[in-house]
Amino acid sequence: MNGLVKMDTGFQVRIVIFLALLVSLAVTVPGFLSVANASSIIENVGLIGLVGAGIMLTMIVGQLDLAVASVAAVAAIIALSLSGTSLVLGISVAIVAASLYGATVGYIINRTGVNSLVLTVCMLIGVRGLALVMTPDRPAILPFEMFWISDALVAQWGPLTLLGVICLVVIGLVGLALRHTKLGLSMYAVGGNLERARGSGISTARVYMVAFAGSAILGASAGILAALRSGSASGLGFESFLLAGITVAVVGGIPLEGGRGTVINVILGALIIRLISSAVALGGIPGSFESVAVGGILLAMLLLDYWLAKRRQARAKVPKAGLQHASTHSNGGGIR
Amino acid sequence: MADFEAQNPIPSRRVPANAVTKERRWLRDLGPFVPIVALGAIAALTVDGFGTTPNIIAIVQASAITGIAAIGTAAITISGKFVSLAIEQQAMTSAFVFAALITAGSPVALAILAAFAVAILLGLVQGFLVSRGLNPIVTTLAFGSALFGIVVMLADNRTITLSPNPIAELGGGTTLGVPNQAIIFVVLLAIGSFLLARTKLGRQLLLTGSNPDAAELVGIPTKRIVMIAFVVAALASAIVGILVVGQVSQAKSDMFRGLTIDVVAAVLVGGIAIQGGEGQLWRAGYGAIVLTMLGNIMLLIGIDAGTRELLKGLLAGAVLISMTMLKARGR
Repeated sequence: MNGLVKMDTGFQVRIVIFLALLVSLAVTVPGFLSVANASSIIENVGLIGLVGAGIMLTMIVGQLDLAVASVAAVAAIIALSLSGTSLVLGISVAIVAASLYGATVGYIINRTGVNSLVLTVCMLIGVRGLALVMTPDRPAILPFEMFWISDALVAQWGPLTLLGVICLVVIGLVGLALRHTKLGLSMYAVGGNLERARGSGISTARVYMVAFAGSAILGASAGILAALRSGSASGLGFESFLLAGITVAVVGGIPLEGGRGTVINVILGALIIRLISSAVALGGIPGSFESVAVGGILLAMLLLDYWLAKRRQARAKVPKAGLQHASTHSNGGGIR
Repeated sequence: MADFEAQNPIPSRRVPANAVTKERRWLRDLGPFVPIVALGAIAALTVDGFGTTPNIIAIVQASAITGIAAIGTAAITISGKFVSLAIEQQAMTSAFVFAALITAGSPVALAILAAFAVAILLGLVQGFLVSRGLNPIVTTLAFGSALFGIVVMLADNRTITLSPNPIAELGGGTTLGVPNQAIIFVVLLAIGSFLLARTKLGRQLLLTGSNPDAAELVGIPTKRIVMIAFVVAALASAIVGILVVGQVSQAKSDMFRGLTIDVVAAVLVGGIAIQGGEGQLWRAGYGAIVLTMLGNIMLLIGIDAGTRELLKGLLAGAVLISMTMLKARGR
């Protein structure tokens, strides 16, 4: 509950997968052990880690935000469209808009009890539409005289780039806030046991609003940074963020049931995914293999967690769900 | 109202249930119709070209593809497993299987059977995973990604073009002026509605969705029911895949881009309770028609694609939220 990574079997398996990938790629793929490749991996780990950290916040409170990719697109378009006037203004407006949007979604989920998966699918559609509305003819672009920002973001300092460092620092701050603030701890409490958290006086409205606002802000930041890196943001862009973000969180070992998960999981998940992408890029493997590998590892980790949960249940000698219900049913019948 | 809700996050049970439920049920059943009938009437009177026979046929035809996939997906929703996010990848897979076999000289019947067989297999695998308790949304998202990659790799990143196209008439033709796709849509909707409302399987599906524990207790094989729901959804996607190949004489990796989203929106806008266990199948078809009609009207009055998407999302969200709130209060 204190937000530390639990070194359970699931986490150990993921560490082993990461190390096995790392070693096998280092041995077999030429060019893998270069500084340029390391910086590319770290930069992209930061970027998809940012998206994953946002999704993690909603997973910790027992929900899931599927609209991050659309939010990233709108935020990036806002930031770049206003960059002609002032980039700082553009980024501020984008982040404020994202946080208001996220807080509204969290509020609606708390108020109505609507299923967050399905509500955010609606938001995914609507916000994507907004992104298209905002770029009717052509993508939003960074003015030519500001291209130095793109260059500065990706300039290498050894294996690091400014972009990678910004992302990792933000992820680190999210991790610290989760561990050391009351709000962070109440997020774990709400995800772990909603009724008990409510009973102990935690405002679920605030927790959901913060989780979804956090997810929107982190998704938006990733979108803005990616758009600054490339110098443009299109209405159809950033679609890959959804699968990437969820994969990062689940492959990193954050359970969908809620109540657990840290930024360490996110970084580990992002590293595994980026190593696979890097292998595809350097190894001359067809690009479509990447979606097979990413989808495959996501499925494999879902199965692993399922299997581990089953095993834990069996070891704890808890009667199976079916039997438990059968017994409560007959008892209930007897008492009433 | 706002304060009342905030103070009572769990609906009060002291309200006399019967009086409210009946009224609410009427509201819930008829609610979705009111705006669309009004909209249709207004559009017919004010929008040039909306009320013409060719345009109405075009709406029905365009809704058929989304509608067929949506009635399959509705089986998943009713079984209590929300939706599948792998619909477009499944349709694409069937399209490629079918087109590849036709190109290889196989008879049409065999190619259709093979596409169905692949769909059944895909549905079984996903249904198996989800029925054991894996999250349906994340599982189908992962499955769709892997499936897309596998098909593109197997097809060597190429488009398959059928010439000649033996099912051009089935996919793109008309019978007595009605598009064949629309006829197939209506027939499938009728079959599906019958199965859901009048057969043991249909009732088992409804009970599995409304209360899986109770369903398990009374001896319903809930895991098998969920697997059947996923197989039905996969078969519907396969039919869509084959029909569109017939229509456009091609199998392409991006041919169904956006279908998943349209189908999910159709299921929601139609008003199928996302919690599962209730909802009639026609609602999915109705949702598809509503969305296509709205899109058509907006296109005719010159609203751009982005705004159409935006309104689609807002409409789906509004129906979802109001249904959830009505359900919470009616309980």
